[in-house]
Amino acid sequence: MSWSADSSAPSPAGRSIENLLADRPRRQTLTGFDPEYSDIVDYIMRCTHRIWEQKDVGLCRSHYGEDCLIHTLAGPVRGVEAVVANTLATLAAFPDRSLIGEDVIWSEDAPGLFHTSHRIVSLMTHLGDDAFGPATGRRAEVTTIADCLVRENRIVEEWLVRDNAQLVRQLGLDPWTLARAQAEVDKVSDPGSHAWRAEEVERVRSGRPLVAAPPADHPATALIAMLHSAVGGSNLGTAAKRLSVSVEGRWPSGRRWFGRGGWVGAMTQLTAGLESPRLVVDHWAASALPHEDLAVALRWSLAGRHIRPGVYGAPTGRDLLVLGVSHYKVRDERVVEDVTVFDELAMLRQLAGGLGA
Amino acid sequence: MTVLGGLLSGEGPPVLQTCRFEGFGGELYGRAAISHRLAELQSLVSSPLLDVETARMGVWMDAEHAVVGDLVHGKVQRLWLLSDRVGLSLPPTIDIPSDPDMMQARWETRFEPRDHPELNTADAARLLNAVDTWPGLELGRARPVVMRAASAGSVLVALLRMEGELADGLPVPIACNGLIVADGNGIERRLDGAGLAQARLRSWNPRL
Repeated sequence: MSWSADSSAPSPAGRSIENLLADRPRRQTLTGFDPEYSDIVDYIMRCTHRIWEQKDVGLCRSHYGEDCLIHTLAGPVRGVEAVVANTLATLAAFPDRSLIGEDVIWSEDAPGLFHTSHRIVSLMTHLGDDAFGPATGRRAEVTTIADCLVRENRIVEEWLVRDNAQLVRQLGLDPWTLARAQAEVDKVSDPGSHAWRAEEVERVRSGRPLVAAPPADHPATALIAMLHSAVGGSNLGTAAKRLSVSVEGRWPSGRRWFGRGGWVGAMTQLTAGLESPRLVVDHWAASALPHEDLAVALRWSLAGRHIRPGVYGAPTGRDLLVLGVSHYKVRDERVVEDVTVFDELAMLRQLAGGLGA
Repeated sequence: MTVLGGLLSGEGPPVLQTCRFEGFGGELYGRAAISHRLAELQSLVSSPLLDVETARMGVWMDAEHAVVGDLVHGKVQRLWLLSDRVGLSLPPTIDIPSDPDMMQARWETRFEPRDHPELNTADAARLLNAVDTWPGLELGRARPVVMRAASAGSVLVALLRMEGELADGLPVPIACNGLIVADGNGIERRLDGAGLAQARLRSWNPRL
């Protein structure tokens, strides 16, 4: 994996939707990709628009591997037909869903094998009945980050994190009520269907990331050290020195914070209720932003036992697994913005005894 | 014409589809919702007292409204309106217990010039002085964060996040945006009254 200020696939940040969707010739080597895609960023932005906004959901069949694997904190999903079905189900409930791409932070992890971290803000109206319940008619804004592994025009593996608790709250629903209901269903399902979660908890606890650490001069290196210093080392003040004193953060469930103290508070709120929390970084990438800023994407997994009261209520004694993605804007080697997404609805579901917890 | 000047006169290109707006005591996201509110704002504003921009930042101000924009290649990426007019509400939020200072010395302005490439060296001290001498601030134990700062010719402009506590009652954390404009004629300071009013109405909620 390498990082460079590669201008052959520029970030969507600062570009209008008209510019993003304009036809342009191929400007990056993309072996096996459909000819309409100029570069890997264009592939992600354009196929998302075609599938979701233009409703050509069947394009999933030429843009996902037949046996693709989609990871979410609510459990893995396998196969392109499941992707098609889930997309249609979401559109049935939120027919006007727009997917506004804020950034695509990418890397070419091996020749022809791309990794993209796509940050999306969706604006949508809950007009159809779905797994959340009857249609509420309410509008919602929700942030999602989709990490995709792409080869020859097909997404072969995806890690999807959506701020579902905030979505539920905007629909006027109570996340805990929904999470408990989901957990009750989980408790009577095949226990083997939740084995993935126990395996992931064990992987994180034993410190086995999915990828090797980046080279020392990669921009992600310092930020991985920051997370490890904060979570494994508990040296939050030292970790926070990687941030600007005026850093701004947006975290799930409407959390908004400023400054190093704000980040320390957010990290503490997430981890202080856990016994021996451990974090591994499972992917890293960096790409250029306008004004000579830099975007760094880290996908991470966190695990610990919920033994103390805090943001998630009274301790449950259950193991908690978190899948998160952080997008950092870096200026002069320090973070000036942090957008982090994890699915707190799936976290509550675990704390309520669901997903095999 | 500046980008913000064009936007507020209804002549400029629309904001980016990724634009986020803070003002009227709340937030909006996306081109359609923001354009709708800007159309309303266009009927409220009067002749500008200030209209400056750099490559990264624009500031437009009349007697009752101040608008700050993040600019990328001449397009508006983010907007802040500072005024007293309340018209939006805040989204649901989980509050974060935190220590803004991380030291015994309190109330230091969180500001480092290296974060603001368009700020002249000489203006950094002028900015800190303008923040430190803010008179009659409606927040207790104010801890300002300098979010954006730039020198536009001889004019210093800075957008602040004014974190603090309710000045009366329980010391509940609240925050709103502020603006400093300094030039040869003096210093102009604005607080987002709408944001402060909405922040006062919120209850502290550090739990999901």
